[in-house]
Amino acid sequence: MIRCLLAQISHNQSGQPVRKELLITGETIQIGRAAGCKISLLDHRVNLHHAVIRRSDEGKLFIDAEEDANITINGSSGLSAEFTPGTHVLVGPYELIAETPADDYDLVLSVEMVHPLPDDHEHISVKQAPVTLSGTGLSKRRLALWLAGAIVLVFLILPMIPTLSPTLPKWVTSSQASIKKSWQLGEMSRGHQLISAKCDVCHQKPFEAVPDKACESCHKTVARHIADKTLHANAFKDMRCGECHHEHKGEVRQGTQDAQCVACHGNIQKKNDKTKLPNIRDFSKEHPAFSLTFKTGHKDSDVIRIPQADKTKLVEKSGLKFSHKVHLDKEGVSSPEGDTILECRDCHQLDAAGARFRPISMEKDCQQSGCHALNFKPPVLKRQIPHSSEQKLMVTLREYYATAAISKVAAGGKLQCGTGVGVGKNQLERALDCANHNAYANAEILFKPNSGCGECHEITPVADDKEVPWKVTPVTITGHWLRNSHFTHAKHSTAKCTECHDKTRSEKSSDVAIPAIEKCRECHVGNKQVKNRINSGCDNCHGFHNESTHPSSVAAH
Amino acid sequence: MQRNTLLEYKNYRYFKIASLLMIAAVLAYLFHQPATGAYGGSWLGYMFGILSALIVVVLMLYGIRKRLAPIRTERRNLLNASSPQQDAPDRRKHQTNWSRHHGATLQGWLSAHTYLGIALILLATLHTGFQFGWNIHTLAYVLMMVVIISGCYGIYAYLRFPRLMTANMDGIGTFDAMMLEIDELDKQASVKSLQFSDDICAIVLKARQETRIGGNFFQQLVAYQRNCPTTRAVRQLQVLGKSLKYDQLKSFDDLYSVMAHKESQVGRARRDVMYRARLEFWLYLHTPLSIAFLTALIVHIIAIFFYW
Repeated sequence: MIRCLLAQISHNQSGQPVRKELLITGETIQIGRAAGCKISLLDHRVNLHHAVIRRSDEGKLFIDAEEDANITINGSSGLSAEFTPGTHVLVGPYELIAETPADDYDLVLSVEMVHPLPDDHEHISVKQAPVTLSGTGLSKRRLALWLAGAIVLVFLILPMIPTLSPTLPKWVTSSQASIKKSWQLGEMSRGHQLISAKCDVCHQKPFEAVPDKACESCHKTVARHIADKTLHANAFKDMRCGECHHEHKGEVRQGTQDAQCVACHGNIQKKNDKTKLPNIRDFSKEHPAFSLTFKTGHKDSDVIRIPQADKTKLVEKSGLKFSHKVHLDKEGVSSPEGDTILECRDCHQLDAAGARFRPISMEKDCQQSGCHALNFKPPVLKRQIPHSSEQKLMVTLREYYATAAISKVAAGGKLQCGTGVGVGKNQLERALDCANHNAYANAEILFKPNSGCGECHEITPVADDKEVPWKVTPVTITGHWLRNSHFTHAKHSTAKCTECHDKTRSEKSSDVAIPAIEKCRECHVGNKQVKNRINSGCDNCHGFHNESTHPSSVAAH
Repeated sequence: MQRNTLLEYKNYRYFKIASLLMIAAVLAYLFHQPATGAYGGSWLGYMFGILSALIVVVLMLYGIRKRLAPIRTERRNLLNASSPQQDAPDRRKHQTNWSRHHGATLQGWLSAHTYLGIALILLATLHTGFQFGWNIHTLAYVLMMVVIISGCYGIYAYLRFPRLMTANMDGIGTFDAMMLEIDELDKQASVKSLQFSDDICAIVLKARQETRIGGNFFQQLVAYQRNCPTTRAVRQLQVLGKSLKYDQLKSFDDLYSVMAHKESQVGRARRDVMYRARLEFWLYLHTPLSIAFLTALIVHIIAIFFYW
């Protein structure tokens, strides 16, 4: 039997402890939430049967935890302990303290709730998590400031540092390059990629458009659109390069577009009533017939332009006689190596730019297989009269025959000249006369109107020149018929030459065989898309700046 | 009728203005063929850019107007309070004048904000000429699009969630009232559970202590607690109740009905949190990103003209 005085300690409103005592007896004293327990502790944290106080065989009092229950004895968890005075035991939220027994009690036990559950709704557990987004601590304002600050730092301050203080060390400025690219609207064109990180090469002053002098510092040979300075200034006023040449657009070809050309040329006659230029809007619809440029002399400016429609005037006065018909005969053309079938490309070979053709050369193109040989009389093995000016040719002939005559005299041979040459003179004088005679005789054969040189060249006798009494008409062959365009033959290699240039029946070198615009239009159309046709803008054929800078023009000369 | 006020404000005034702007912009874009292809630097491109920037200013003014309105109301109230001799008709007159002097109502501003914002999608896109890249210019565009799209969601939320919230509350006055009710149910369940086994007691206590309403940003948006202790408690009580003795069943039914009621109220409270979160969360994108966009826009303009 255990006699226990249970002192239940609570607190009054002013917080003072209130002690309520109660006698409990029993063989054992059950502690728990269950109704049958002697010490009933009504709380969830106490098991139905939490612990038991029992007397051991030796008569000592023990407190034991029930199965699955936890008790804390003097601050450390345990299962069983002797219940001597001063022992503190925690059962759930209750603290049990064994006090010094008095009177005839075996045990004096105080019980106090030391860990009450919060009772105020301000502390209820469901409220512990935030229930509004602002309660989560996220601040729109802070986020906005951070983002704005980051953008200003990365995209404004860092890219501007090199401009604001140009004396920065190189490693700082070079590390800026990639940040600076964040300002670029797009990739640089290939030609400008070398300077892509050096913005200030073109953008010379902040808040000022790229000036022309920035472009001209590299592009030094680019010419105006109109040769006449005043007219150019009137037409373009203070228009900058950059207004047509847009950078930061990647690999898109830099340059003008049809709309820009048409803006003026579409109605150029109204814009300038003195102009001789026709209105042009589109290659298919509004483009005049070609005018051909004929070379009339050796200077660049020695040209005349004749509209292709004016057929009677389309005569090339090259000073040459040449029959394409003979040379392109399907049966072949006779040569020392027999009949040879020639093709266009045997003589006309593309220049380095692939635009037009390298000039025809007598040595390479006419004499290469023994044709058109310029022989001495009598012929000499492995030596020919050089294809050169009349004067040089005469000098060569005189030198050749003089050497031959002197050699003969020295060898004791007999000079072979016409009768009566050098009569009454000494042997040396006779040799000289003989040589001159032979040279002149050979030249006479060469300068006949229809053989020798005259076979290809127009020759006129010069009466008052006793030394060289013949004149060969200077050769002026037109190499660039459409001088305002940059036609490239290499790009048209899929077509046969004769598809455009019908020379197979041409007997005279004065025949012109440049195709008309209609021929081009069989493949090329203007800006409006047509099935199986090639869209061609103005700049497919024409350049805005001086044509002479184009490789095709360079190759023509 | 929020819908009417916002979208149909003054017989669709801003819808008409925005539509006209968009039609004119598309026509201009189609007919204008810049020589070097469409881009922001052609004359039309600049026009689109200037117009878009002006619209951005108007859109931003709404933010300022919205924040100033409560301050002005407060000032006005103070003014009225300090002059008690002012009678009611005078006050109304004062308010009308105030509205007249300070432009349209906030609803009108919001209507304009909505439609002009949507028009900005088109105008700014045409301004880009469909040229995008990894640069500050496209960053500004992307930020703008996120701001506008989040704003479109905001209109949707504004039109949809308030009604759902009212329906969800089902007559309960406030969220706090609902929380108090849940707390009361918790207490009742605790008391009722004490007489039952430790298992039952433990799950009721766990349901009381660990049930979470609200939570972090995303938890609020989804209205869901993984392994919600209250839901689990109700499910476990169904099982444990089967093994009880007959004389305990009556009390157990009481406990169970309290817990079931709590479960439904917890769900309701979570939905309320969710609706409010969904009604607000877009602002956490819309507002900070609009400031970020404005900054990027200014940097875009500086960059363009700095390196003209």
